[in-house]
Amino acid sequence: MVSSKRGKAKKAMEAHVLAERVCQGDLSAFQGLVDQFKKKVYFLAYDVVGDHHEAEDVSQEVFIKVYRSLGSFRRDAKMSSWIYQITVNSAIDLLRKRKAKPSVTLENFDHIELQDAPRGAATAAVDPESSAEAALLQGRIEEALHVLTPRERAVFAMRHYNDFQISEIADVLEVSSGTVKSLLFRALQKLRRKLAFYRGSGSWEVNDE
Amino acid sequence: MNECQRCRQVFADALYGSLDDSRRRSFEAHLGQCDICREEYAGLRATLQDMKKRERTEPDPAFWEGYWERLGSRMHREKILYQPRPSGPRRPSFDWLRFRMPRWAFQAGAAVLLVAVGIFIGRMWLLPPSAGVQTAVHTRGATAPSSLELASRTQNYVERSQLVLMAIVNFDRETDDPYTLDLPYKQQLSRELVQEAGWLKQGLADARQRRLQELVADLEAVLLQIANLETPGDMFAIELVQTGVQSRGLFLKMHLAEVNRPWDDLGTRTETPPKTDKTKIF
Repeated sequence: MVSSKRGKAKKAMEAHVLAERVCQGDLSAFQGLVDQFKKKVYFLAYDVVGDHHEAEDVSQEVFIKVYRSLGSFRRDAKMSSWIYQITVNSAIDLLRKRKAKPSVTLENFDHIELQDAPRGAATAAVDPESSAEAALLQGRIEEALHVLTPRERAVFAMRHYNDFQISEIADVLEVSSGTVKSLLFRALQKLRRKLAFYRGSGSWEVNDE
Repeated sequence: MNECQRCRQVFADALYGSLDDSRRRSFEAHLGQCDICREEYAGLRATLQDMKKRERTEPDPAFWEGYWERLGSRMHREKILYQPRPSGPRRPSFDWLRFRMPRWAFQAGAAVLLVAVGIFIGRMWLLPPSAGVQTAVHTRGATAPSSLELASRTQNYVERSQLVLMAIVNFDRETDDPYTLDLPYKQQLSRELVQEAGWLKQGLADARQRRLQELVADLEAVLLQIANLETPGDMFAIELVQTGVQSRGLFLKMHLAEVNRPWDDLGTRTETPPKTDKTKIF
């Protein structure tokens, strides 16, 4: 626990040093900054927008915004929170722009699943029946996530798929912990109703662990 | 409030492990007695477990290896990498040369700038005397505005206010994110406009432009509300502003002002220069 805190503090320090160097025109420092955050930014974006290609687009936009605004970044602020805030806002913007586009449905899920993963993401060949079941389960979960508003989805993804603590989410979104909890709770209620609908229709049974 | 309602209020805390000991004990005691709450809570926990079964496909290592290259080329394409690389063993920095302007571009820019400064000086100092426009009949010493200045500043005030109010009124708190509203900027603009309003109201009162004066005052009241909003996410305050704009019929008034252009009368009311004089200067 203590070592993890120390590790975080060290990384934060490194990020600030890199930012300082970027402001002096050092592009390799910017590359270092990108390397430090690219995975977290990318996966956070992916969990909110639900598409690998769009997630890469969002993550690139995030780093471009970071590069442009580093000069005005307050040195006493937490850089990771700032970067994740840009990520969440960019991803939410994209979801809103995409409103008109049809959401993922079971009819097109298989097609998307095959095309979606970038450049050869591993999909192990296993027993076709269990693989179909797993695909169905994943499809239901993705579809359930679509009932959430962009903000609820972002908060849920941060907490459950990216290991953010509630206080960290509150920092990133600049809201109180109570607001984060109520967003999470509202999201959970919606998800429950959606999953109950699948169970009710008998088309999906999830075995609780 | 009955026990069940109290119990449901702490569901979120219980699910996310932030119940203190005493609250946990009473929560668990209630769940032990109440089937409905127990079922509800178990359902939420099960949903959480189901949602944790989500798997995401990991991009392969080549994706990460090429990440910087793709980002870099996008930044080049979008001309974002304008800064020179101070040092670096990899290759000579041509970024700076690539985006360096040719000399003629600077010369053209300087010429445009000179013309702009000339026009600005002309408008500021040459136009009033040559056009014969003096301060309005109701001048109050040296600070009283000229009619033309009052007209142009009033028009400018109304147009800028309209922009701020449009953004606030069109903001949908159900679907829009408060951060996209860029409230700090709108507040800054509102503060500037509120400062401007005092001067305008005085000038318009002197010029006996009662309606314009009222419009400026109405706008000032709403802009003051915007300038004093405390937090970007204060939905209630934003809703109050939206209601204020609607109840005062501000958009209708601004629209009427746009159509009738009362500031034009203001500019021509006293010793107005013939239009031909104005066109000669520009």
